[in-house]
Amino acid sequence: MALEIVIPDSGPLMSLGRVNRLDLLDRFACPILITDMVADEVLRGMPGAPDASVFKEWFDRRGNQIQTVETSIGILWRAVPPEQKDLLRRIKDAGETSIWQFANTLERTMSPSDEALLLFEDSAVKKMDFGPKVTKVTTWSFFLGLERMGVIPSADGLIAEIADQKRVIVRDPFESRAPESDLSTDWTERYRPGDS
Amino acid sequence: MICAFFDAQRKGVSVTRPIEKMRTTTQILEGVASGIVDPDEAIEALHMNNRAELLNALADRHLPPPKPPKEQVEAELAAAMPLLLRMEAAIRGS
Repeated sequence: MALEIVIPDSGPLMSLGRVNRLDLLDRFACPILITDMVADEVLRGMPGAPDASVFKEWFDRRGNQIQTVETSIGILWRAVPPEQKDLLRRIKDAGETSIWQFANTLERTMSPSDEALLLFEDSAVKKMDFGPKVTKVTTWSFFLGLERMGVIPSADGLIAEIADQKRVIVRDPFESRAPESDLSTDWTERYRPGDS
Repeated sequence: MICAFFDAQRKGVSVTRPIEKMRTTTQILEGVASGIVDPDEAIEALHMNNRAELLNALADRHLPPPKPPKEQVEAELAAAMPLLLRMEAAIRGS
């Protein structure tokens, strides 16, 4: 099974955006798909989020490699009048729910040999079922992989930089392979350590 | 491969430790669970503080606690085998 899509949740995007290291996502040799709800969260500016312009610039710079995908919760969000958005904002884990909806679509549309990688920070994601084609990796686990590939000098150092920008990342080395994943491969095979 | 690694270690030959080629936390933790990776090396590689954190990370992925090193298992088996054989002989003789 080959990694064909990377789906970052808002947490890793905000952490990397905070220290201007979104380039670490650019090195995946496959498209990065961001659900409309997650895109809205980072562009709207959640509490503690970096300036939306960091993301706008990143979206523009990477062109086709980064795409936003529509989900029903995102469509609902856009349809709600501004004065009622507070109600929807209270829906817990709206970004993760949009990814879950997208993962259901992937399950029906991806070829049997393909899989997706979900990057996340919210611990609720660990217990969510994203179907047989989604591998889940925490930001910390991603950083450890980058350190071991020599992409970053230190996972600790990067976390400290992010902490300096008032964002705390839990050191959770969690990864879970897609249930239908080929055990002989992993996400690092679709990552270009010396590229961007 | 594991035996060759420990044989080389016994002989004092410089060898690449299995963990050095591992890039993901999954590879390292599965290596610990299967006895290929030394738990202390895993704790260092994963920037953990203690064994409790390692055990939590294994449990989080539904992996079993680390197995003892193959060398230790082999030594314990070698020590126990004469006793087991004597017991078997005694049972047959009775």
